[in-house]
Amino acid sequence: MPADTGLAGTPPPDLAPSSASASAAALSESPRNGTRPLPPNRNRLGTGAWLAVGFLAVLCAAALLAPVLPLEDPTRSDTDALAAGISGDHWLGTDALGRDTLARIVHGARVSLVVGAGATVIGAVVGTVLGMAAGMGRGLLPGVIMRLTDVLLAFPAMIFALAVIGAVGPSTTSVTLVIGLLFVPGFVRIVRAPVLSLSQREFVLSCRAMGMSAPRLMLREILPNILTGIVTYGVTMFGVGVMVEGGLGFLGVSVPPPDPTWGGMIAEGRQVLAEHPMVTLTPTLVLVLVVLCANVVGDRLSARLDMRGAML
Amino acid sequence: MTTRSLLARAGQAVIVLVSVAVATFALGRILPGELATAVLGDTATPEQIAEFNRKTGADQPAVEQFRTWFTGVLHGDFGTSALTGQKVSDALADRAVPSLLLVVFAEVLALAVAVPLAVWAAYRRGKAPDKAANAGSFVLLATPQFAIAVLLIYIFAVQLGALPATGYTPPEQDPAQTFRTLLLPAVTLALGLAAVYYRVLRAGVLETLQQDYILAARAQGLTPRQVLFRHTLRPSLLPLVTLVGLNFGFLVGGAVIVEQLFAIPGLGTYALGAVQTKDFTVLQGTVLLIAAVYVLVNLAVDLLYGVLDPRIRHAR
Repeated sequence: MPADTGLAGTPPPDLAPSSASASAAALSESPRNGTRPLPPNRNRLGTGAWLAVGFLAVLCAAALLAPVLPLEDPTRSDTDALAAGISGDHWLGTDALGRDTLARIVHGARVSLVVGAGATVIGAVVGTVLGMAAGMGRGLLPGVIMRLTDVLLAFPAMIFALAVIGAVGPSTTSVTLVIGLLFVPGFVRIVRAPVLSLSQREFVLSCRAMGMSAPRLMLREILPNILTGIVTYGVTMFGVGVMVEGGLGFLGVSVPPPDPTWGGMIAEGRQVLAEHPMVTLTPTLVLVLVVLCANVVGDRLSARLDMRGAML
Repeated sequence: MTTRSLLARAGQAVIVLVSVAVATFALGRILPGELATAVLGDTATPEQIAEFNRKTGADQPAVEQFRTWFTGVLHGDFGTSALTGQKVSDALADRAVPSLLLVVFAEVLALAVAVPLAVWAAYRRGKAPDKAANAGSFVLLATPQFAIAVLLIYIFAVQLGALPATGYTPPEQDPAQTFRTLLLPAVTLALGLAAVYYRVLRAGVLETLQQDYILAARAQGLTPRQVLFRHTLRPSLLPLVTLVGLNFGFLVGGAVIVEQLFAIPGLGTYALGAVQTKDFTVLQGTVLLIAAVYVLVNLAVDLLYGVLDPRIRHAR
């Protein structure tokens, strides 16, 4: 599938009024003269997606400014308020050790957001380079790259992450690198397919014939045509990265305590789940909201750019 | 699929599996700490450690160790756990049962929910139930497994006390109890799977409904039920088959967090334990088995694709 079909403003084929949709309407209860009206705002992201962007932006800002914000120390115990509910002192309550939940969520965001974004960038850059090489390279190179991604996919991901992080020690850097490495095969696949078809197109062939070097050709001619797909996929993978970091934190192999991580907060809260469910539910809700926002933005972007099959 | 491309795919699978074996072996060696001290304790004398390494072959060069281990694997001998003295192949056979039961259970649950819901939602596109199902699947996609698990444990085990929160009973002891212990972990996995399956199948059904032969079927006077389930569902199922296969291969031994959380003695927890105790032999064997399942399932899906869609079988 060529990646440049999704010019803004062009309705995707399955929504365009055509005889095909007439047959679909024949099945539906109320056929509207055989055509379906185009949904409004095809060119906009839509209110929901902007809300999602806003939420992520506020969280990013809070995480960046955490040291200067008037937050409590996320590791300080308030022994007068163990597992307390929402109050003026603790806006989102405290955990079982009396630590302020809001402060821990904001400081935890520093880990989650950095790992999610960092892993996505690593996966995108390495995956794009390898994917373009696999799509345009000659000889043994494409086969070797594809087998390498197969090996990485066949390797049980969580065991791989646990073993490598166990070997090099848990830190923001190691967690980011491992998740980024796990993201590479997905990006390779999402890049290689359009590159394969693009490399046969006239404008690429003519550039080749004029003697343009392969790296320049990839950077100047191929990359701009596949960038939207990479960005869309990347937005979704950011959410996945946040989820995987949460999972590692939940198993206790992300950034070690007492530094807060969302996964760690959820795991710690399980001990008092019966008596004080909010200790667990609050960080869970924030984590789900962040991933949900990333998915909403990714989904709207892909609908707008008509990037279909943006899936592993 | 022609014989030639089939052989090529099988060859690729072998290459991938051998590479996984080498990678696992290397991964085992970079884990910090020594197996000898893990087994003998911190008080072991250097002589004891040397004796232990000589017995387990850990004093040999890495290439030699790999050759010995891999030759054994090719003969069905996965070695012996230095920690427990149990044969790894026996342990893997025991551990594979709960993992397989869990994943099959989860896949069945997910498909039982997702397939009817997706067909219905696509047929009633844009109506309230479609919108509700879309929103629900979207939220589920954003919810990590461990969060779903914690919520389910809170509702069904803590609040209602209806199901056990953790543990596993082998089916030969009490099949009904096996079902009860696997229900919450299977639902945890199934909810995530169902969300993906629902979205993919709904999109597929929507696309199929626009085909001219559906119009023809309608014009013949077939009921909506006949049109949907006989003419629409089958061609729309192809992408779903791939996904079900991929997820099956991915989750056998890959559902580490769920197995760990619900204390299921499956392949995932076995590998996790091996990472923590640096039991190389166990880690290598388990990872190789999990990877083999993944690769073989992928190969099977490719073949099945040809069976389901004659256009692919006869292409080329």
